[in-house]
Amino acid sequence: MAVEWHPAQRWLHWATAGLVAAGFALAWVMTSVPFRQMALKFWLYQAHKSIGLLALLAVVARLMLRARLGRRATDLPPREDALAAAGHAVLYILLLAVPLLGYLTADTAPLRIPTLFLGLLPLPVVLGRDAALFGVLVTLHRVLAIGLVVLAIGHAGLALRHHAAGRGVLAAMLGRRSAL
Amino acid sequence: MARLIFLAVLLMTAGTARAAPGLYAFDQRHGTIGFNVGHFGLFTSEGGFERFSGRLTIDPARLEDTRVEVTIDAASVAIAVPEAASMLKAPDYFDVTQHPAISFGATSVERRDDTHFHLRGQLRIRGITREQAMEIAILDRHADGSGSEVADVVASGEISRGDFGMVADRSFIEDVVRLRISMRIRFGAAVNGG
Ligand code: HEM
Ligand code: HEM
Repeated sequence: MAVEWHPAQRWLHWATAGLVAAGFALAWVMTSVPFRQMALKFWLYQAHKSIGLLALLAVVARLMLRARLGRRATDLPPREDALAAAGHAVLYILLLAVPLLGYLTADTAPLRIPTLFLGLLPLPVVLGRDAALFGVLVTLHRVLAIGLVVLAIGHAGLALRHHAAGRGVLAAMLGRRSAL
Repeated sequence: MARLIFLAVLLMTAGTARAAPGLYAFDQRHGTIGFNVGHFGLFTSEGGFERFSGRLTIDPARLEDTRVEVTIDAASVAIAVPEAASMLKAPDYFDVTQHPAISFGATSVERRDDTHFHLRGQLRIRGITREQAMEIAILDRHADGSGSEVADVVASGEISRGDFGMVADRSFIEDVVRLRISMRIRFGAAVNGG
């Protein structure tokens, strides 16, 4: 285990958090914009998709760093530390699954609207239009996205609680010198 | 024989099937009427009409007298997303309660080559009639098992939706809409061959 988080790990953690929050908020906005405001709706969907894919890239980069640098040792009691690690594993799984399912949702959608990464780069079609599959994927993507955000809020709450209890986990993730 | 142009192609094969001039009826069971429209290079949307009926009157000896009439049920406009379908039925687009029918009647036929023809006619959408040209291609012409002549007739053309008063959403939907009508016509089966 590492003594401190690598700065890249810290930055990527907060970037992921920001991207997930933004993508999630945008999801509800984009779907509630009336159909007739097509251009706005189109670009909100594109923004949602690009933000989600950036989150995916950030998570992949984080996992690669973590494979090399490991996780920072915590000052939590061993049982809580193990629970935290398990919770983080679930977060990582959802962080990978939600954008991937989002991609397939867009991919199988009834209107063949391309995914333009950052508004420019058209991404390839994998499965193509499929109404039945789309119905399943859109629900799965939505439910797991809600699961991810609920879990992340719980996760943030626990981080704040540990902080209030005088433990160094949050300070370390924020890059403040912590006395372990 | 020299004048068997437009439909000689359709109506005769190497001495086997023999074509009868006459009146041929077609509808959604014989093919499709589709359209597509671009969104300024971002992507293309496709739709179609699920109910229509048409009559083709042809005399191979008098090609210039060929008649095509098509009536489309405007409310049968179909597109993959329900919101888009309701939008197309609403007053900004086909306005199907005021104008339930779309119609096309050909007024002239011109031969380009054995399988390609140029059709001119009157297209009426939302109560507005405009001159409309279509290119006709005759594909996959063959005699079926019973000896009648079968061919896929594909008509394509471009309309300006603005010409028919459909001017909404110009910032996201282009003006030019491409039409593609594809029908399998069985020329042995004239309704009242003559
Ligand atoms: C952090 C990543 C993501 C989160 C948190 C997220 C969240 C959501 C949520 C909550 C919805 C449901 C909205 C609703 O039902 O009103 C949704 C819908 C959708 N998302 Fe995502 N998403 C993410 C990534 C992606 C990605 C990467 C793509 C595609 C490349 C994508 C494409 C879609 C599509 C196409 C819908 C369907 C909206 C509809 O029903 O029309 N999402 N997303
Ligand atoms: C969408 C939002 C968030 C997601 C998806 C997320 C995800 C994660 C993941 C996967 C880890 C594990 C890192 C690893 O072991 O490699 C982690 C660690 C951490 N997160 Fe978050 N996080 C989010 C928001 C927050 C917020 C808002 C806070 C603080 C209020 C926070 C505080 C922490 C802390 C302190 C750690 C370090 C835990 C440790 O040392 O074991 N996170 N986060």
